[in-house]
Amino acid sequence: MTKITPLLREIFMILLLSVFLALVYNAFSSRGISLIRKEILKIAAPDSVLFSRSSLDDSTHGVKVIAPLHERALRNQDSMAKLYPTIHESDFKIISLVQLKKLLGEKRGVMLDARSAGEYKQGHIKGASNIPALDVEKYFDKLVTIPRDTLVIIYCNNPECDLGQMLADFLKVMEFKHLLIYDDGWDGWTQAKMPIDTTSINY
Amino acid sequence: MDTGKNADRYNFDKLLVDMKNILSSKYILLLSRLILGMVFIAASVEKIVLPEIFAINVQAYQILPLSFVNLVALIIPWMELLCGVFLVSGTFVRSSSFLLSVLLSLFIIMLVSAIMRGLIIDCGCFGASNDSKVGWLRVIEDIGLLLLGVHIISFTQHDSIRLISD
Repeated sequence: MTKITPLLREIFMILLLSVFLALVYNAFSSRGISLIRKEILKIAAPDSVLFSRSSLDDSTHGVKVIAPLHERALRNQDSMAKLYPTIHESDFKIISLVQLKKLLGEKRGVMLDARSAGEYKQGHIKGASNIPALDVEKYFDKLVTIPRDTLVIIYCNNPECDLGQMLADFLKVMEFKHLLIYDDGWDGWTQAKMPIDTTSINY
Repeated sequence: MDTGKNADRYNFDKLLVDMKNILSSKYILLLSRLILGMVFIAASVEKIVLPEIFAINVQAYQILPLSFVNLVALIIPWMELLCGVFLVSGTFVRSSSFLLSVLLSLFIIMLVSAIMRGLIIDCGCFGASNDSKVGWLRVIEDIGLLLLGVHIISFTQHDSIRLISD
């Protein structure tokens, strides 16, 4: 049995070299990521902000949605940030299916599907254009034609899918002012048995 | 008569010796090195170029504390690349195969853990574009690669710069 120590030293050197190369490459890469991953706090958009009249007074159901917790969270944003230093706020607000349906009914805003082209073709929410978050730079020319104060509604597959957040980050850098994410995404939409569209929209 | 039993034992021992000879053959070792090395080089490239995607994949396993996900997602692909290159070139062969075997063992544990918890997530094995879902097939693939790694460690006499070591 050959000696172990030179092997251990080799193993350690390879590990060290890997760490070094990883940190250096990441520092210089345009797609670098931060070393400590932070949690993004998802804040829901209250109806009072979305809709000029008071919220979801649906005459057939008579249900009024009040969201005091959301309002309070919005008011206490700064104090929450101090409590949880590892969390930073998102550039977007979360909307529910009910809010999304209402926005669609009022034909407000631009809807973007952040998933890949293949997933979009298999089915998407009617009226949504495909801006794959993974190749978002290629769609810069299309995005630039949208006025920055338009309401933008983004969705991905489900709350765990980060593509929506990635797209929102990119749009934030482009100075889009109103970014909403339908967090339940395509899974939520299909689970609610909403219509599936397979035509595509091009700018 | 004992000749029957003795003959069987002789054949069995011969079989073991034959297997050992095949496994220590420098050409078979080269094959293992090339397969293991090239698989890991190919697997590492996209993860290095698109670290955010790989970080998302790592996070989806929900095993590491969130803060460490990015560091792990940054370092592992470079380990894969370096060890893959070393294996193919024939340098630091035992150290590289040891590290890759450790990585593979960790991957197998992560995969099984995810399957047990019923997570339906992307494996994160090869990066974003041609990824596959977590499942027992991934586990079997990794066990196969792990066997290659163990083979290399067990039967490599010493490392040398040449492609086929003496």
